[in-house]
Amino acid sequence: MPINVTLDIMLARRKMSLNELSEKVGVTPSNLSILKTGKAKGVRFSTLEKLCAALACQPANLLEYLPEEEKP
Amino acid sequence: MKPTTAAVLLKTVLAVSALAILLVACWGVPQYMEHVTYVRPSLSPWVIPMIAYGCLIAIPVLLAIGLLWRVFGTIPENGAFSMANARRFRIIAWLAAGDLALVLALAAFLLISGVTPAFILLCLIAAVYIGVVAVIVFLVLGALVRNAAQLKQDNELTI
Repeated sequence: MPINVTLDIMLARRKMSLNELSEKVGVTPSNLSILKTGKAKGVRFSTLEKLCAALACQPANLLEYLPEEEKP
Repeated sequence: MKPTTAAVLLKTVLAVSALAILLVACWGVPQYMEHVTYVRPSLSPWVIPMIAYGCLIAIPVLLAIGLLWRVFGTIPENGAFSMANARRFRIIAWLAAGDLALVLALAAFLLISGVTPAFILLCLIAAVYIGVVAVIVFLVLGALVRNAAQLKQDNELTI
């Protein structure tokens, strides 16, 4: 998928585990894992807002656009 | 109504329907043919073919009931809108089409043979109508459930 979720990078920067983030955001660890591994089909704005608040970052820190030919 | 209750009620209806169909195929048709041959002994060679035809018509209906049993079994698990159920509805539509073809074949045979009592013709017209409606309804239901399953999957993967 051209949209890459860089949640794992932000978690590492903030030295936070997935379970801690799950408690702060109110999303189950399994759903956060789906987001982290790129299997999600979409993110609600409300979820994005809670993630940004919990990780003290901007949406651009969590999402990046990779055109098909540039995918790693 | 709770999904579990709905599933139980639906399965009960299916079980009763299956019993009714078995009763008609295994008892009703032979009884009717016995009466027919009593009134018209010349029709006695047709007893076994008609009983066989009755059983042949019943088989797709019983298979469809089995598939609907599985569909209703997914309701309590919140799995009604799934690709598997969409496939089952499409198969049921094909089974209905098969039965419709059998009824049309019988209608054509009777018309060609000149056997056209009004009651039989009315029954055949009703059976053809029911068959066409069943094919259309289950095809549309299958398409709707497929769309719903896709939407459900997208929704579940939207965090």
